[in-house]
Amino acid sequence: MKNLVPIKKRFLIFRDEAKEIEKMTKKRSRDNVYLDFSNVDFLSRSFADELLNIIEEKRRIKIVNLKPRLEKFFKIVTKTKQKTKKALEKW
Amino acid sequence: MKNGKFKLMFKYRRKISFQKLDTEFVQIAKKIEELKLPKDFLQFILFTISELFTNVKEHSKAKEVTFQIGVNKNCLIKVTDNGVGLRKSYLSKKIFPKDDVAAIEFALSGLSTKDPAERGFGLYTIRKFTEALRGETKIGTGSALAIIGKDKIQLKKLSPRKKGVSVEVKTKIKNINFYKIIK
Repeated sequence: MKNLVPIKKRFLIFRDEAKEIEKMTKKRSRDNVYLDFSNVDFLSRSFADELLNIIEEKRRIKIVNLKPRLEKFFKIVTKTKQKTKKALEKW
Repeated sequence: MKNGKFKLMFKYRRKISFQKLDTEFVQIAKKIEELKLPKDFLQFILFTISELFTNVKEHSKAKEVTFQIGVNKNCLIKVTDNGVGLRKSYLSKKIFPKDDVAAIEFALSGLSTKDPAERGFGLYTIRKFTEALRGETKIGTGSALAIIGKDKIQLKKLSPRKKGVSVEVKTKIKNINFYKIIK
């Protein structure tokens, strides 16, 4: 796959780790960039939240090879973000 | 020592400098993985430690963190920092809890000191897990100590005042549905 960025860490915890990944994608071409999460075993909510913010802003960044439980976790964090956004809009 | 499926009696305590939280998390996680705990319970432990470490990093202005974990029949996780404490952290973001007790109540309700779009639910979710596991969470900051059990919160006055925040989570070790609780 073209523009595949392997994520080497098994545990991703802090927001700045998501920002580091964003920096790595900047070095790539303007096409889609694929983050290879096959080595990743754990994500914190902060990391997931920050990475989702980055992906929302830069739609050319895609995640591939995500373990099913981490995919589930991303979905939960996405849902929470959407709920919070809606609640804030109402407020 | 092994007993059935679980390796019991594990204790680990360490003072960690603020800059080394990420590398220390990896070391801790590897040690905990070796205990062969139920899968979702392992997720709960890693989730709890990651939430407490990110709280320290994002809000506390602490220089040092004391981390402790004990796994026996029960599991105990304790993270103590020497930072500004919950109330001051809220005040710095123009959120005004009237005292330390109110600051703990804010944190337990999921009110974050971060940007509203990034609302944090760390302590709120840890409380949900602890309740599901019929355990207990203790949060100490400034002059307040909250002891949170199933459906009840006990508030006590701390004397002398505590610098920073201390969070202690004590639960039984059992299988849970991590993703159902975290929803």
